[in-house]
Amino acid sequence: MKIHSDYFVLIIFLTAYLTFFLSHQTDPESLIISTSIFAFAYFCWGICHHVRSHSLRGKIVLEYFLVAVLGVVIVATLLI
Amino acid sequence: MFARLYRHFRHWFTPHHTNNFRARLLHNSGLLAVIGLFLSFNLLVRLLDSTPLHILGFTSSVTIDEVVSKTNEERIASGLTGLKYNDTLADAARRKAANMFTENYWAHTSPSGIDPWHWFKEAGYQYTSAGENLGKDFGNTASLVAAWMASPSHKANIINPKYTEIGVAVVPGTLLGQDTVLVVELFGSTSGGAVPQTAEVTPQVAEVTPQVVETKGVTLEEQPAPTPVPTPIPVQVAEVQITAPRYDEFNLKQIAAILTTALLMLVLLSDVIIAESSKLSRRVGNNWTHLLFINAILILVTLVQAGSII
Repeated sequence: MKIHSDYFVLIIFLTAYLTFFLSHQTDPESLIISTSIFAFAYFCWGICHHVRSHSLRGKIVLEYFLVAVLGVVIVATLLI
Repeated sequence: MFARLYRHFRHWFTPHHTNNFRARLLHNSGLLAVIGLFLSFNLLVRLLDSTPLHILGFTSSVTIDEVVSKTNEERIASGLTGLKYNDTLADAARRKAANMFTENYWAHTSPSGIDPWHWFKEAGYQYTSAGENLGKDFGNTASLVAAWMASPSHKANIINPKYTEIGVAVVPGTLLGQDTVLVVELFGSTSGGAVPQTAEVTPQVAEVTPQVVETKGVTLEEQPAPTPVPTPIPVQVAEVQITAPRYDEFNLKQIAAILTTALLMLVLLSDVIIAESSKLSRRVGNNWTHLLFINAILILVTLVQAGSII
């Protein structure tokens, strides 16, 4: 149940991000900033999730960091 | 040969004992390689864009006539009458666009502090009400006007009953280091000219101090005391022609972004399916949430269109 609430939080992040995107499609600066915030939130979420499930490793922290950075890089290179 | 290719494919894209039962692409080194390759590709695109070969660039079919007609369509749909095209306003729009390229900025007010109203006055347009919408990087007029209509402040300009005239400049050039087509749309009504389209709107000619109202992205001004009219000077920037590039830079980058995210999603999905069906126990990140995150990025890079407005 504790872990399920993690997914609920992630769904809220995702919904907020996509809602913001739909209302700011023609504002590249805001999209890059919102993607960076979303990516950072995902990175933090990943760490918290693995801490709560007692499965956190340094390798996993780096994995979430790289996935988040990849997301930002893909969006930023497209919009800049 | 094929057996070797297959082994490489299996190693990079599916869980196997050669990759510690995790697709190599999803290892931290694999993700780092994807980031590096993606950045290298975009750097190459930028370098190609800056060469005189003109292989890459920005293509646009936006025209002045279409901007005016689509703006008027929106006004008519809102129960207003269409705006009349005014050459002096168009001259002011061309001056504004020329200044944006010269001073290299993307804003309503220039870095040297010149506000939008300066160009109305310089072109000799005596206004009681005026407004400005800016757009750049749009591939066609429909998406440009749709973007303006989706923004409350820009829409307020388009369907403002005070305005009776419109002037538009569509100018190709290089802004902030990138090829673009800049669109300047100016609205206005003149003190001695046409009467505003709706009866309840009265020009505020009695006030002495100019009243400036600014909202996000768009600026409206009401000026009861117009400055003396200088002789309009024709600006020829609208006649600038650029050779159409072979490939649109934005489309190329968008395809690369979609392919990269789609590939990652496929590898993540196959990894999670194989791992769960084989009951593999691994200490790795959560593939399902990675899928959600990458999926959100895929939605954005698929739906986002070239073009920005202020």
